[in-house]
Amino acid sequence: MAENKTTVRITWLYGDLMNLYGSAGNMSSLMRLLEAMGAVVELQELSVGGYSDFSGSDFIFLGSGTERRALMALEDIRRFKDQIARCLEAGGTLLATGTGSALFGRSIKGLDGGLREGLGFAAGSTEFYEKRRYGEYVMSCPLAGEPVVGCINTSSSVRWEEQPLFEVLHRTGDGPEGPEGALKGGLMLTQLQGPLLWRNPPLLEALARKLSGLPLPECRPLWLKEACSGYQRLLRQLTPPPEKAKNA
Amino acid sequence: MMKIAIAACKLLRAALKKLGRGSSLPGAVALKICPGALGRLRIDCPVVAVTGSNGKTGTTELINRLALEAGLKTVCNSEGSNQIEGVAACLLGACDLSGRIDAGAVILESDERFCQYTFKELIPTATVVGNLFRDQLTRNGHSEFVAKELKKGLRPGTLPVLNADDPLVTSLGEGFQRVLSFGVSPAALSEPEDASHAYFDGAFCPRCGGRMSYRSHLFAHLGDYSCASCGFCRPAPTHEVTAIEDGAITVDGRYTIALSQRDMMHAQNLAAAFTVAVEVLGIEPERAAAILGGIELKNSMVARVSSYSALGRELTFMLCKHENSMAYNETIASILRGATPDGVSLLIIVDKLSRKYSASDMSWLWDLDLHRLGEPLVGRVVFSGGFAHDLCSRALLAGVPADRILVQPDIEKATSLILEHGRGDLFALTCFTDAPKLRESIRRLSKNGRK
Repeated sequence: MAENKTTVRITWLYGDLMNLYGSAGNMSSLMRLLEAMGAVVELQELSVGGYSDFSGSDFIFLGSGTERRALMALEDIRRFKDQIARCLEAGGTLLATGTGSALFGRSIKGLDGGLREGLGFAAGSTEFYEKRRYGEYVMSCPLAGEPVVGCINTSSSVRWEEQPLFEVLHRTGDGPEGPEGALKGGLMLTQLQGPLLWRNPPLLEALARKLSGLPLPECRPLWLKEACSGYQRLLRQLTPPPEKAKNA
Repeated sequence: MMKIAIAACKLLRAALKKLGRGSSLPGAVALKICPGALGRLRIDCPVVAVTGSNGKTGTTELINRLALEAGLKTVCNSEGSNQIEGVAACLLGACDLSGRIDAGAVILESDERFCQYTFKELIPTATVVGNLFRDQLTRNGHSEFVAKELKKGLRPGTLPVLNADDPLVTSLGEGFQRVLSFGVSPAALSEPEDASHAYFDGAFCPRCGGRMSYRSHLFAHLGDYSCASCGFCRPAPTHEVTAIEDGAITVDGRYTIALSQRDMMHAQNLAAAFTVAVEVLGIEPERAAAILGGIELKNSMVARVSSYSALGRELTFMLCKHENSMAYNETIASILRGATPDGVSLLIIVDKLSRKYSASDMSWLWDLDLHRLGEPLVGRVVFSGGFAHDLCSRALLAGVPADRILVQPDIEKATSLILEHGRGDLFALTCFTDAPKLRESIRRLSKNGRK
């Protein structure tokens, strides 16, 4: 008798264009965990010039790229706007990190001063500027139930007028302050970049459960146990001692 | 104020030298006293700036020693910092009190992002740009950002000497009437480079954003590229390596240079030095090739390799650089290229990312070709330092078999593990930030014996 397996359809947008700061780590870790949970993962990669109907995806991911490349992706992604809308309306989830998140707001002001219309899925706008800022963060994350750690390495300012995806608990460096990201239905936007899911196993596991409806494996795979050790270490490192936090 | 600045710089340099310290401090003090000091220097000889992500120290040394052996008196910041203060310390220390530099050539290594400050008033005769890779993204953002910053340092009046094989570097020549270039001809490659890397930065044209195609790859995004959309392509280099064989390279099909180290980046650095020698310093090509062939670099891949003995085993330490995936990827590739049938085992230590700033971002681990540690010739892999668990997780996701990995954050215990359980030739890879911990571990293990 054929086994009925849960299939999770994933679309990875612009993986060869928006590939900075280890963005690929998100896809690698998510797919491996879903497979460990018993799901069948159908991955579709789409980039500039390619076409496919991915409106039936369970999950869409767009990573971080240079400011110039983000604008290149913006010009190309417009033709997929309807598909993305249908995916989200049907209960799909979309995660965009770093500069990739800017594409889903109402507008982006480039370094040339030109204002470009965004996809408009979330209320908010982004402005690219010359100065670079780098900050490391601990943020609260209702979806994960545990804090999220990560970094923002940016030369842009983003203002979202949506429910924040995260709340900043601790920050080091000169990265942006205040609530972080936007959450609107299945749309998850954050300036946190890099392998966000890999470095935050609680968020990775919550997302995998949400996408598949399956329970986590009884025993975590070794790579995930190791990622958990790295996460715990980073969380300790980025969280100031209670005394210091109280005085801050 | 210029004379006071020069005098202060010279006095401080002398005092620090007595203390055994080389420093950019004298330059910083001099620039405080006379902010425009660099522009007021009187230099009658060619000034060559060397910049880029990887290999600029080696290229600077090659050009400096080449010029010296060709009979030119040189001034070079080979011992100091490559930011504006270091360059100021070097030049103000070398000039007389009137600001005159008596030399046949001035060779200056410069940080990519600091060119715009260092060469604001002092315009180099030529500026060599070797390559632009992902390097210290915490500090540098990304390569396109660095390219943009670097372009501000290429002011009118300098002659860009660009690596033709690097599309991002080549794009820096736009707007200049005259550009020199160097490279390695695709015809020089005996076998195609293994194109399996964790990332590829050459997929899109730096000029128009169109998709690029490559006829051949040297390494990373370097190769013979072209963009069908705008016609941007690898230019015909002014001088290029046309053959690599029998421990030597041939430049322009005529000039043979013996290789002291067999990596592609060294071949590129030699081509850069040859181009500067012939086109900027006016050295005859035959002479330039003969001199270059005899140079053993202090700052070379060979020099970054050292051997140690402990617990009855030999361990080869290969100095890399954290947050610079090219350094690690090329080192891993060179270890695997030279592996004997007995195989190799590796200890990789990532503990403190930088001496200059505090950062914990491990995104760059995803730019490492850790999948290559899954190749059959690799025996044991030990990950150590504060990021040991992250390295292990990343390697497992890259397909490295779990049974060949050991994780030990404690560096001394990890060193002991590789010495006791490593199969074949043993290698340790880490950055200069963590190298002292490795050396101390080896010293203690040698002294105390088996742990």
